[in-house]
Amino acid sequence: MARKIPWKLVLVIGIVFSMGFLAAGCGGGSTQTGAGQISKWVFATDHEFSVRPDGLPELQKAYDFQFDDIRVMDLGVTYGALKDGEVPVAMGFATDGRIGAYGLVNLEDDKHFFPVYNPAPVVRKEVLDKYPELEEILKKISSRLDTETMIDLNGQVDVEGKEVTDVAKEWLTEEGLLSETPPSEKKGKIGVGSKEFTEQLLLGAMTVQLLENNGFEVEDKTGLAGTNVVRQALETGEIDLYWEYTGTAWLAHLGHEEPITDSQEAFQKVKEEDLAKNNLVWLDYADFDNTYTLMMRKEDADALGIKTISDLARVIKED
Amino acid sequence: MIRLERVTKLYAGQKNPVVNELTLEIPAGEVCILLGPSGCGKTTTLKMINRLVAPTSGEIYVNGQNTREVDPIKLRLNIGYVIQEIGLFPHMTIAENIATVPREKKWPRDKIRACVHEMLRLVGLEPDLYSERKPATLSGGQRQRVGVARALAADPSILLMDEPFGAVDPITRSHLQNEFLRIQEKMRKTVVFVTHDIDEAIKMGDKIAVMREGKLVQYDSPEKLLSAPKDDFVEKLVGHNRTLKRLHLIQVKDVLHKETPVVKPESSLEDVARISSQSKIRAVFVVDQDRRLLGVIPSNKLNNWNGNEKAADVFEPLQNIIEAKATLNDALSVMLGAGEWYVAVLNNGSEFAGIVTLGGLLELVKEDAA
Amino acid sequence: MRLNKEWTKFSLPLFLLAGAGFLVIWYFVKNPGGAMAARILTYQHIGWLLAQHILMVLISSFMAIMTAVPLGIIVSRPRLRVAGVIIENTVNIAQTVPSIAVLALFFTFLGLGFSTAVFALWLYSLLPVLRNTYAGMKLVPAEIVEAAKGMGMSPRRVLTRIELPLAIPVIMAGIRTAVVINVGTATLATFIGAGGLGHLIVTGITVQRHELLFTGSVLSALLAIFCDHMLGGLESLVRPG
Repeated sequence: MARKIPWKLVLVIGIVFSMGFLAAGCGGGSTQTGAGQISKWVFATDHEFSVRPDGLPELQKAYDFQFDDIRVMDLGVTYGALKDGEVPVAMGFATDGRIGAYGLVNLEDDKHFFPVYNPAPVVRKEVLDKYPELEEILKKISSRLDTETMIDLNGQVDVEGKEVTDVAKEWLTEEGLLSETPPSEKKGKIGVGSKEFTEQLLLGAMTVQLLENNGFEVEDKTGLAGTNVVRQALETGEIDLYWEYTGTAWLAHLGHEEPITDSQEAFQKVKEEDLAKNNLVWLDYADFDNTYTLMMRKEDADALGIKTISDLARVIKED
Repeated sequence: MIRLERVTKLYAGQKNPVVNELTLEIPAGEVCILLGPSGCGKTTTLKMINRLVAPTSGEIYVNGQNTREVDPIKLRLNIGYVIQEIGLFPHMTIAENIATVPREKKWPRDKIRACVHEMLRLVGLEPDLYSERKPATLSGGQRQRVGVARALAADPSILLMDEPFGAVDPITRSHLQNEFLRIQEKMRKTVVFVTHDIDEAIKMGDKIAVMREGKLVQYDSPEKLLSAPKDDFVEKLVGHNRTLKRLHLIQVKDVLHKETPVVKPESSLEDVARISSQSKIRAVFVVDQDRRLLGVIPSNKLNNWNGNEKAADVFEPLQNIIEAKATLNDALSVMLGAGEWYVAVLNNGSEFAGIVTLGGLLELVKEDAA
Repeated sequence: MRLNKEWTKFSLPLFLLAGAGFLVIWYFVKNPGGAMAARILTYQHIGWLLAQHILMVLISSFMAIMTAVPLGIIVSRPRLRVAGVIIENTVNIAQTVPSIAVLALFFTFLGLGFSTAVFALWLYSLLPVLRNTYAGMKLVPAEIVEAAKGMGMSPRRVLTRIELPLAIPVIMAGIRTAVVINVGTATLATFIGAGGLGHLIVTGITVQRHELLFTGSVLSALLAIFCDHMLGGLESLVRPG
C-alpha cells in the first residue's frame, strides 16, 4: 500500500542538518582560552607511545601524575594539535623542526625516564686506522650540535622547505668549518651513509660536505631506507661511516632489552660492545637527544612556570 | 469531440516539422485511427492532444475547449491514455495501477475499490484473482487489458491509444481488438488510436487518418480507403490484397447462414436425421432451452448409431467457435486453423447465433469482386 | 506466520553477528597476549571505541543520505541534464581520491577530532549515494514516466509515486555501499585522534600485537556486515514489489 512519506519535509530537514553540520565542522574545538588557562589536561600521543611499557603508562608512574584525558592520534598530528590548542600537552620527538617553528618547547626529562638517543658517527675500524684524522674532523660537527640547533636545522628543511644540502652548507659555513682553500692532494675514497629522515639526511650531508672540504673523495650513499639497511651496509663495508643513535644501537642492533637513560653511560656501553663484536668505532656523540619528548606551547609553559616534566606533574596535581 | 486546427510541431534544432499544419476533426463516440509509417508524426499528434507535447503552432480543441487554456494536469485526468503494456507501473499492484487516475482525482476509497472491480470485470479479468498481483506476473495480453482498464477507470470521454496492442502475439492481439470493440460499442468513447498496422486500422477504425511526413494524406472511412485510395502512397500502404483486407470490415453476425439446423439434447436420432436431411448444412447443432451451444452432430456420422440414442448421447464438442463481434477475417483464420468448413458464432459468449461457412464466405468475396 | 518467518530470517544473522562480536571481545579480553595489549583490551575500552566507531558511521551516513539523495534527485531532472553529467563525472573522479587523503585534507582545515572525522566520512560517503541516486532515477523507464504524466499525475506525484519507488533499489544499493565503505574508512579516524576501532588496529600494527590488530579488524568487519544486513532488511521494507 502507499506509504505516505513527507518528502518535502525530509528534504528540508536534510539540507538544514547538513548545513548546520558543515558549520559545526568548520568551527573546530579548543580546550583553552588564554595562555596558561588550561581547564583540562589532555595529552596527545601516538598509538605506540600510548601503550608501550617505556611510554605513557610508565611515564605517569615515574613522575606520579595522571593526565585528565588522553587522545591517541598519528605521530605527525600531535605537533599541530598542540599548536592549534586542541590539547595542552603532546608527545613528539625532541629534535623535530616543528617544535621551533610552531612555538613549542620541550619539557626537560629531569628524572631521566626516556632512553637516550644521542647520535654519533660510527666508522669501520680499518677505515679509521687508515685515516685517523676522521675523528678530529667529525668532532667539529658533533661538538657544535645541540638540541636547539638541530630543531632549527630540521625546521628549515621540514617547515620552511629548504634543500637539505643548502641547509647543511649554510650551517657549516656559519660555523666556519669549511676552509676557503681545500687541500690540493686527494685522499682516498670514503662511503658515507644515512637513514632517510630529515635529521639523518642533514647529518649525512654535513659529513659529506666537510669530508670533501678536507680532501676526501666521498661516495654519497645517504638516504638509505631504514635503520637495518644502513647498519648492514656498514657491516658489509658498502659504506664506511654513518651517524647512529646510541639508543637504537643498544636496543635494536645489539639486541638489549633494558633501555639506558644516561647519555654517557649509553655511549660507553655501545662503544665497547660494538668495537668488540663488530669492529666498529663510535666517535664522540653530539649533545642532542632524538628521543621521546613531552611538549607544551611556549606561552603556556612560561605562564605556568613549567620547565620540566616534574613541574608539569606538580601543576596537574595541583589542578 | 476533438478538433485540430493547423497544428504544427517543430522540435528545436530540427529542420522539418514532425507534424505540419494538421487539421483534423474527430467526432464524438468514434474511433479515429492515425495510420502511417514510423516517423510520420502520428504519435506526436496523439501526444499533442493531451499536451504531453506542446504544439509549436495551431490550436487543439477537446470537447470544445482550447487545450492551451486548460491546466494540462486537469486535461490529462479527463483523457484516458493507453500505451504498450510496458506503461504499467511495475511496483504497483493491478488494482493500484487501475486506481491511478481515480486516486489522482481523490475519489473516496470505496468508490475506487468498486471502480477497480468494475474495470477488471469489463476487461475480462477476475478481480479476486488479479487485483493484488503485480504486472510482472501477468501475461502480455493480460497486462494490456489492465492498461485499457486503467485508462477507462475514471470514465473519460476521450481515449488516446498509442499502439496499444503492438507488443502482443497476433492471436492475443485479435482477441484484444475484438474485446475492445465490444467495450467500445457499449461505452462510445471518442478514441484516437495510433497504429502502423493496416489490418488493425481497418478493423478498429470508424475513420482512418493516413499520415505521411507530418501531413494528412487521406481521412476517410475504412471502406472508402480500401475502395478509393487517394494516391499511390495510400494504395501502397493499403496493399494489393484489398479484397482480403475487406474481410476485416465485416462482422460475422452480419453474414450468418440463414437456416442452421438445430436440435434439443432430448431429441431422438430419428428427428436429428430428419432435420439434417432438410438442410443443406452437413451438420446438426445441439442447443439447450437457453440456446446455449452444447455440441455438434456431423451428418455423415449419423449412420454410426443404431437409432435408440438421443441427441445428448452422441454430439461432439466444438472447437471452432467465434464471437459475433469478430470479423470475417477472424472467422477465416479459425476455420483454417481448425481445418473445418464452418465456424459456430456465439452472442455474448454462450448463446448460439448460427454459423458462418466457407462457402458463404466465398460467395461474398465473389460478389465483392463483381 | 509468514511475517514471523521473515523476521527470523532477518534477525537471526544479526544475533549471530552480535554474538560473534561478543565472543571475539570476550576471548581477547581474556587472552590479551601480554601486558601491553591488556591495557587496551578491556570491555570498557573496546566498548567505548566501538561506540565511537558506530556513532561516527551513523552520523556521517545519515547526513550523507540526507544530502546526497535530494541532491541526486535534483540533478536527475531533465532540465539539469548538464549539471547531472558534470556531477556524475566529478563524483567518479572524486571517488578515486584515497579516503586517508580526504581525512588529511580536512584535518588541516578543521583541526583534529571527532567532528572532522565525521565531516570527512560524510563527504566521502556522499559520493556513492549521490551517484546511485542519480543512476537510479535515470534508470526509471521513460515510458513509465510518460504514462504517469499522460494520465495526469503532477510532476511531484510522478516523482514520489513512480520515480522514487522505482529508483529505491538502486539508491539503497548506494547507501549500503556507502555505509560499508564508511565502516572501513572510519578505522582511519584514529589518525586524527577521533578514536574508533582503528585505534586497536593502528596500535596493533605499531607495537606488533596481533591480538589488537585482530580484535579491531574483526570487529569492524562484523560491524560492516551487520550494517549491510540491517540496511538489506530496511530495503525490503521500502522496496516496491
